[in-house]
Amino acid sequence: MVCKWAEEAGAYFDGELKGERENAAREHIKVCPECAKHIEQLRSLESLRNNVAAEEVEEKQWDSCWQKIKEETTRRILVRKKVHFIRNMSLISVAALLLLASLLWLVFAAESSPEKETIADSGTLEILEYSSEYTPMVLETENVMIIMMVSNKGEMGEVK
Amino acid sequence: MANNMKADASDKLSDEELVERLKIGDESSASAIFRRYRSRVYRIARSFFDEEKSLDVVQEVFVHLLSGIKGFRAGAKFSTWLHRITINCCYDFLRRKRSRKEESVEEEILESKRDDCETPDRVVERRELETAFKSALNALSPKLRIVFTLRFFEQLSYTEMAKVLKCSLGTVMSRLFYARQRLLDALADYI
Repeated sequence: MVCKWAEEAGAYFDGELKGERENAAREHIKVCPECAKHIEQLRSLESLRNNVAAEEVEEKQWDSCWQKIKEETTRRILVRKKVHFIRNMSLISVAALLLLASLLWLVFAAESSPEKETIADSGTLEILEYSSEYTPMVLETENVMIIMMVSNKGEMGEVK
Repeated sequence: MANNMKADASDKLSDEELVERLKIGDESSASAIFRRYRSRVYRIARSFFDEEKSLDVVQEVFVHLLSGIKGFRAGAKFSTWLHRITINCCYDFLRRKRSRKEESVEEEILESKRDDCETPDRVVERRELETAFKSALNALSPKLRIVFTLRFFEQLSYTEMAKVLKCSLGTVMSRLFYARQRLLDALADYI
């Protein structure tokens, strides 16, 4: 049976308790044989540290390890740079394609938009939608706007 | 990257100063950090693996550290970050090792370096204790083992362990208690 204070006793042994908790643990250990024994066992366990400490590594092994670290670090940094370069190039390519597509769309849209021509100094002539038989046109001057339906065969349709 | 493994002026700098210099590409800082922390990383790894594998862990930890030093937050404690990387690497290696056969602890001990200053009886006694201790340590779950190792070999405080392991102080206290209890039970003949 382990005392319910045993964990606290361990923390006290490690110097991890402060203030009232520390005092309470200290007082408890004085009157609890189980916790007092636990502290003794922890002390014995600590005394094993020097006996079971990991063996030292020889300097030449460290040198070899360090060489490998440098080589592998350099390799990974280069790989990372390559990955970044490829990713950046991909992004630039996508951006360029999008830009090109936008330009093409603008050119196409401009070509298919209604034409507007200036007729001398008097006004503008705007050609509206095309149809198979008539092409509507707007002739606009300072004071007058004329909408015409011009036959695609060269005949004048309707004048308003 | 520094070629020279000999101690130099960088060894006198604090961790924070070394990290800042390393971030701007100072080569001597890298080897100074390696010299300062290699044994600690090795000791933690050694509680899980044999000598060869532990050196592999050391290599992996420092490669990770040096190639990712720019990700280290200013203001954070460097040793906590390093311990965290070490533990993650140990867990990674453990996952890889699961499918393989565990190395014989006894064999590892017998291969360890002989101390000529000790009497033959003392050597046998020490090796027996080492074997028992390592067997008991290996029998612990990785979570208990790492808490015990960080306290026993690295003497980290509970607060530092909680930060490294990303758990509460209560969890650290509880795991450490159970780890010690199991070791004490296993080593009853020696203590």
